[in-house]
Amino acid sequence: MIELNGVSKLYKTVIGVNDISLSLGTGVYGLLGPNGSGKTTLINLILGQIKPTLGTVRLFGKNPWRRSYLLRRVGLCPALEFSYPRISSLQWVTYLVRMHGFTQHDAAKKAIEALTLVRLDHVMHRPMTEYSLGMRQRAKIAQAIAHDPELLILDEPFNGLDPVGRFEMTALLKQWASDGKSLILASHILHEVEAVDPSFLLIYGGRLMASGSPAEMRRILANSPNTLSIRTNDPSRLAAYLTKEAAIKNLKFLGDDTIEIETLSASSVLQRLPAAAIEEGIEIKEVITSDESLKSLFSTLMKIHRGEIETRVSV
Amino acid sequence: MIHWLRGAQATFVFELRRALTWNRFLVAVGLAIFPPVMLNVVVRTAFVSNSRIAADVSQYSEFAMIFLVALVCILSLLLWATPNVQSELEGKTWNFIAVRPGARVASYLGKYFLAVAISMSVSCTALAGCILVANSYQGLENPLKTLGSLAAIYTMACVVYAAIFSAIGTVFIKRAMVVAAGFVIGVESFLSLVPAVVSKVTMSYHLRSIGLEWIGYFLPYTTELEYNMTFGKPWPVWMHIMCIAIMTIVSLTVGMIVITQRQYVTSDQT
Repeated sequence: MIELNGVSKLYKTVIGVNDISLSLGTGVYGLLGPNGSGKTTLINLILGQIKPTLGTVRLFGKNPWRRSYLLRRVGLCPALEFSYPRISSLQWVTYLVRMHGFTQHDAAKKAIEALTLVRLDHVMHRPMTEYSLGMRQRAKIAQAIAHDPELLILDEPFNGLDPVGRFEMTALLKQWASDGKSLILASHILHEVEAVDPSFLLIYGGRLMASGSPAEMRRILANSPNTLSIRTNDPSRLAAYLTKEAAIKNLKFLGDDTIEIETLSASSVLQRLPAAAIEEGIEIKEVITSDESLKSLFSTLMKIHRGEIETRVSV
Repeated sequence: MIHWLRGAQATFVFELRRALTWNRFLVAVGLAIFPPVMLNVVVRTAFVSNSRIAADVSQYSEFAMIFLVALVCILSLLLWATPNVQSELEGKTWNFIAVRPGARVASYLGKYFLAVAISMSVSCTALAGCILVANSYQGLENPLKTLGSLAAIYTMACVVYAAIFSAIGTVFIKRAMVVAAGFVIGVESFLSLVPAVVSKVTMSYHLRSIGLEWIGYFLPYTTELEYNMTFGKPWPVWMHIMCIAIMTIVSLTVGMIVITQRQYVTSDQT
């Protein structure tokens, strides 16, 4: 479906993406990377919106640059926030579907179907400026899926969604994947992408740092420096035990029942927890990795890339 | 081609719907009433001062119908045709459009047609207003013929200048309007008045030549003899129209090539 071979993109002296090679078949992919890591540039390259400085891009077996007919088979939901005063989501989505060559009648029908799917049908005649951020996000999804593409590319689709919206979005994307269609989900938040159970592509500084299944990513993450919050019935004893047994860099008490541990290897701490429960009789109620886990992961991947850390995980 | 035209039609309708705001409507009305209001004020002032009234009204009418309406026409085209790509990039809507097959060209053409339609409406309304005002003070010899001839000339002006400005808009993203205004002043105003072959590459020359042929004048105070002495024997009207058509097609083609080849990236994309 998508093939990139030694692709680099320079914006004058700034590197957008750097020597990326990958081959993606039909499936669900999570494109994961911090802000400014090159995710959007990579998407623009895949869609032929920009031309690679070096290397070749293939979309459905063809160079997407100057072949806009390939875009019939793709739906894109960009991360950009926009505003059209006085225009309703139905008018906007219908207009964009018409750009695919549909008649006004067919385009309106497809737009209504898509807006119903994202649960905006009750407000589709209202101006989009009256929408909440989450509603606008759903309208953006609707314009991406309305023409029934084979490949759906979503750039930060969870931005602005409340928990209910996130749950509904995840359900929608799971349904999309279960229909056998392809999906590329770009995000900087690991757990959002994880919910759709994709194969991961980790991008950082314009480079593809790693790719693999969720299990492989979890293994990398477990071997990365990380911050863990552990809720227990006896924080003092657990802290004493872990300080003695695991590689702990820093330790903080949060409230009466939680300790926050900064560690160089999350797995070394996690492996000791069952033993702490059995040998010391400490009750472990909850273990949470912090939001910084992705940052830590990328930091580790950079070190692996530079050869500063050895790893058994294929990167 | 049919796909482009369908997309252009969709863009035209969508952009027209977006344009139907009070702000934009008032701008259009302001532009349309400016020449007749100015003409009315000037002629009334002349009446009050009681100086050479008949000659003044005729000259002021010509000035308003030609210079002021042309100014309004150009201003409207600058507002509507030039920011065709810039408005999408600044509004961050470019990526939604550009990822549709053939949509870059369709959007470009749709916006071009809208710029022509709006500017033509504004110019013709302004022209009709001027003729009404002029006729109310001093009966024009043949107001309907003047209206028809000048309306046709302004329509041609809208068609060709909208194409030129649209092409400029695809090349110069951030300063498109400034570049287009510079083009109007430098090329279409000064260069077109140079008594040399080079003036014939300007659209202003061809439009004025058609005006000279149809209504006997196009630049105030220039007789046909003076004009011919400066620019040589005039071509037949169909040749001028052909030059305008060729320029329109060339400009639209250049714009379409640029818009499909260029890598437009919004500022917050990396």
